[in-house]
Amino acid sequence: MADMPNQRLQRSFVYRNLEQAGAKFSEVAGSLMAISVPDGTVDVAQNLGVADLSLLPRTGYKGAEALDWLGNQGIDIGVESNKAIEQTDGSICAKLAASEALILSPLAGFSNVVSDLKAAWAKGTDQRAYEVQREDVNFEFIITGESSAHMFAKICGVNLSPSHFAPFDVTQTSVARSNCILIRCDVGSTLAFRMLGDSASAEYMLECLLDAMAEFGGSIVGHDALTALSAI
Amino acid sequence: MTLPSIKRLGEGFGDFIDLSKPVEFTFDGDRYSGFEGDVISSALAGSDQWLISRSFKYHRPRGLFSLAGHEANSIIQIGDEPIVYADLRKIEPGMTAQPVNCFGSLQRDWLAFLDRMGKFLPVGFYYRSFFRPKGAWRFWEPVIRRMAGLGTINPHAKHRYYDKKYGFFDVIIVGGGQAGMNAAIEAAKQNKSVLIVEESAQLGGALNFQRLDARGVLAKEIRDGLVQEIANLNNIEVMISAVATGLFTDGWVSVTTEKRLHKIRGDTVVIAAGSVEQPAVFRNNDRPGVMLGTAAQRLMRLYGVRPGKRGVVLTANDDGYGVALDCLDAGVEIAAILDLRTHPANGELRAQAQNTELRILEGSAICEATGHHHVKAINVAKVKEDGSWNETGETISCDFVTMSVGYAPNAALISHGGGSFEYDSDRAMHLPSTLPDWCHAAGAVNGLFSPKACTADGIRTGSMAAKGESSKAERAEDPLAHSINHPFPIFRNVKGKDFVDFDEDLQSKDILDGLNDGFRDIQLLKRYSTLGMGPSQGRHSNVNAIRLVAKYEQTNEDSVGTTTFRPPYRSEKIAVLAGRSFDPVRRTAMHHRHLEAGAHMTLAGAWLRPGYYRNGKSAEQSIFDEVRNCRSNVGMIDVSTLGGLDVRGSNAAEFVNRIYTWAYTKQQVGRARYLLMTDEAGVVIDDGVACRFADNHFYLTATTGGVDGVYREMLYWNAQWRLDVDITNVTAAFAGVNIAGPTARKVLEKLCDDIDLSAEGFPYMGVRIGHVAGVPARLLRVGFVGELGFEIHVPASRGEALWDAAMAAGEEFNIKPFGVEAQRVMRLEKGHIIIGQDTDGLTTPHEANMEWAVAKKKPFYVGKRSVDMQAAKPSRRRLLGFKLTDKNAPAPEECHLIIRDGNITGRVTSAVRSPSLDEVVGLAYIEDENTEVGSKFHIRIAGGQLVEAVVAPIPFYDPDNKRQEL
Repeated sequence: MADMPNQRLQRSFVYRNLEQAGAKFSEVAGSLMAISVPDGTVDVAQNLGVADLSLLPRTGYKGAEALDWLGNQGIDIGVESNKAIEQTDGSICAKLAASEALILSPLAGFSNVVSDLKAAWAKGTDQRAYEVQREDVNFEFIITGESSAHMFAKICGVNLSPSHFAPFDVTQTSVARSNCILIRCDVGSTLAFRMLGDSASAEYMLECLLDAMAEFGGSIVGHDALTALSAI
Repeated sequence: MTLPSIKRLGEGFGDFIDLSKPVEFTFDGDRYSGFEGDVISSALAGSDQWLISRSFKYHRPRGLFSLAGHEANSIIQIGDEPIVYADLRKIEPGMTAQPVNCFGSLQRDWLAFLDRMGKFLPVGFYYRSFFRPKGAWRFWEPVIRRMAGLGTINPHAKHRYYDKKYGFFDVIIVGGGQAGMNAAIEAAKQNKSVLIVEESAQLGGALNFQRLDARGVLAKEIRDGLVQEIANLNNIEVMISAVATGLFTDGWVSVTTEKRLHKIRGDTVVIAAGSVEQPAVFRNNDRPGVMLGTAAQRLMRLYGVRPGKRGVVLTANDDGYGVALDCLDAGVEIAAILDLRTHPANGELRAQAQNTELRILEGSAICEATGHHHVKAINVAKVKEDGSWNETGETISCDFVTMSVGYAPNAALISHGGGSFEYDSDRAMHLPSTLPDWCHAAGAVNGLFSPKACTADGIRTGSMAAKGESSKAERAEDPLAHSINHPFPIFRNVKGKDFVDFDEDLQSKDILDGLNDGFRDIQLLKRYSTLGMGPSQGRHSNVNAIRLVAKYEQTNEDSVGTTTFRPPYRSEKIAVLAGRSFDPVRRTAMHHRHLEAGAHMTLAGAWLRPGYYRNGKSAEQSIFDEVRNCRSNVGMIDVSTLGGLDVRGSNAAEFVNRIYTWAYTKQQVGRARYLLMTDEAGVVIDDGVACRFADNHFYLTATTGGVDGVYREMLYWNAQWRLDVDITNVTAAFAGVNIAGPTARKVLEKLCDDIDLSAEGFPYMGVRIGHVAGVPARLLRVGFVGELGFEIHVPASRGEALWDAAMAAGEEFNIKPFGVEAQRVMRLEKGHIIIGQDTDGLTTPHEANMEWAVAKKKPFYVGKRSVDMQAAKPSRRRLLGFKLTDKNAPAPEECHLIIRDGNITGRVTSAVRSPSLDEVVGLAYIEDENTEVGSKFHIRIAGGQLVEAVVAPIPFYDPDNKRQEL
């Protein structure tokens, strides 16, 4: 099996940035992800780190009966919009509106939820539920650390401080002048945000994040750092 | 040689400086030495350098005045950074500072003669000068441009790093003095998140330098206690050296630090910004060495610098006695205290002063200060009971003068937020009379001055702010407040140079002349005279001017009114406002492959697209090589930026049918059809292709720049129609390539084995779903460039892999990438329009020769009624193809005019020297009736030359369309 991103069919939108940071890649959930980065230790992740989750499976559904359909597939959606619910296997369902939700894989990547949902949808349905290709229309990053809300305050006008933005709160807003979805998903006891945005702007957004993070000593971290963080 | 620094004061003085760390810097070419923590003004004063600048109009010598950066006196330039306040900027090793507004040198300013030209420069003279006789302005403009300005911009200055940050707090306190700190503590005790914004380098405000008691220890005790209490509360954040520059609706406060703009939202805001000490008006009150009493105290307490050797204190309140006592503590001689009051109230500090050997002259004013580059003496005048004076008394030699005649609440931010003010004649100051609900005023800004009153007011507002109570423009009684301001500290001199506004060089007679010229309203007087329009924004001039106007007009100050303070409170750098600019850039999945292939990238909206690929030749040759390769072999272009919209649902066909001009309800699954979109005015606004993948699934393409607008329009219309349809913008979800050329099929056959790619199996304008290079794909047979072509859309994360596979598969067929420019050439050779280039804001389908894309029998589409109405009128213009009759003539460019019989009858929209046809072809709007093929006209190209053209049928290339339908 090839172990370099440019030898795979599916490639992260920022794989070159990760290579430049010295990342080592390994397979997670069937895709090649940055496992470790030389300066991206768990201490960095605890302070302020960004990791690329773009190749973790995810999907979305919209339409007048999309949430009913998801509920019929066993997904716990909840009542409030702009709230996410952690599923029993660690995946995340974020309700974006009365007619739309997205599903994210657990950080560890080991879940069949997304593939099962895609298979179910591909079989066809009479319900007015339509798939959104979240894996390709969006990049996905996770930003971790106690300085993360302070960093976001430099590029986002929403108050993401822990006292105002509760675990699993969702905001659909603008970050560095680009539309993004932010979901608070703490890793262990560490403040963290999963971030989805326009995949075509992934490199631009990563550059903006790293620039904003520099003040706090933040940098890119790998998947291993997230795994270690989840145990703290 | 470094000029020597005078020995600084010791214990109890110089709170801000570190005597163990000397710092050298340069000012006006001379080297000076100060200490870490010094600001430029204090470091210069510490070296006995009191001259800092020249005044705006008269070029009079000016020096340290407030030491708070409130006036233009302290504006200097550092390197290529203009508008630096010497009172606020700390010295740094190697700093090079320059004075501004002087020609020659600061000491010998060539324009100092203007000080004697006052009679030729009356108030408002610029409204009556410089434009007569006719043509005079051409002479004066460069002179004025050369003379004007407080600094020089370097247009090549390197852009430094600035950024912005948002903040969110329950309570924002502007001002970290006694009232502000108390308000913060009270709000924090009620579990609110609190921010204190403090302008100076540490909390304390006036407590850092003013004397409140005879022993001179109370201010520090109060300050230290409050600071400690704040340190013990973890829900108070403090920003120091931070200026609140504006207060906006609903508690939004702009705060600037050196390199950052903070945008901070508070549920409530408490303005505890203190007050601004006011000057007295007398002849030569602007001489270096004449300063505010608080300036002298700041100089001593904060920087350990004596204000001079022998001074005179002018006062109308107890604070002036505090200044004198501070001078005594610092070993500075005070020649006399002149108390404006004939019967001064007895305060603690006056009582202490009376116990010393200080000479106190009651009922005395200064009628004139003498000296040129620095004050050297003052002439005393006796003040009568009625406040008048006309006798001169003794001359007292001195090298500094302090003024303590009162304060004006520092209420600019309250004005920004919508508050209003009334003049309290008892306190002789303007006080807030109305406040926005979410904004409170506390302390000196609210007209309270005693420690007890400031503390109580801070607690009151802090509590109200924490509870979310609406503000009240009220204040407790404070006896001190009634004896702190002199109601008229203005001693006009017939010889003039008695300045009311230092920044604008306005004397008292200028104010009165403005009234005599008819500008009797304070707002008009401001604009006529420029009163309050300088860097100080009226901080030192407004109140005295209002008093003058009231006296002259025989009314009261409240009737005169006041001007409006608007943001910013202090000058803001444009760099801080600009911040770290964010310019989102969108890159396709194949972006880096284009760079690796030598692409010259161009912007298409926010997208980067390859314009052409450099091959060592000129741009035009590179583009033409790409065209030739595509037409003779095979080329590939990245089309990922083109808009993509999935329309799904039981009403998908009906929806598409209503949005676009042609007919789609009967479009077959597996087929594509051209899309033309009009707005309600019947104007063409976008085009693309509709691919029907299933009965209830259309995949629509749109232009790169138009897709977001098309998506919005679709949502807008369906919000009204409520059709059962889902619309999803999938532009970024798909990466796309178009493989085009005679051997395109051969390339694709190497990559795709689950689709019949033959001409019969996959005819022109067919669409298929399958796999290409192992990647799930949507395939379209479309022919924008007029060759056999396959457009392949794959999930974006697999776009680069597709590109790599196609390039590898096409290598044996000499596949080469081609860019946007080559595509534009080829589409023009086919006569295909580009929306926005060959159409404008008025183009209808008929003008664009697109009647074939309009379904005439359809009952409705967006814009139908307008299109039908336009079609019923005689045609004004048509978009036609043309060729130049002389194949060697220069090619016209877009918007070159069509000329017939000397009249303008149209314009060119696109033109190119076709590499495929070896002649110039193009499209143009022709606005008369001679539009038959073969009809001739002229085009006026660059330089005015006329080239002959002839109307030609389109397509120019492969007119039978055989190549694209292979």
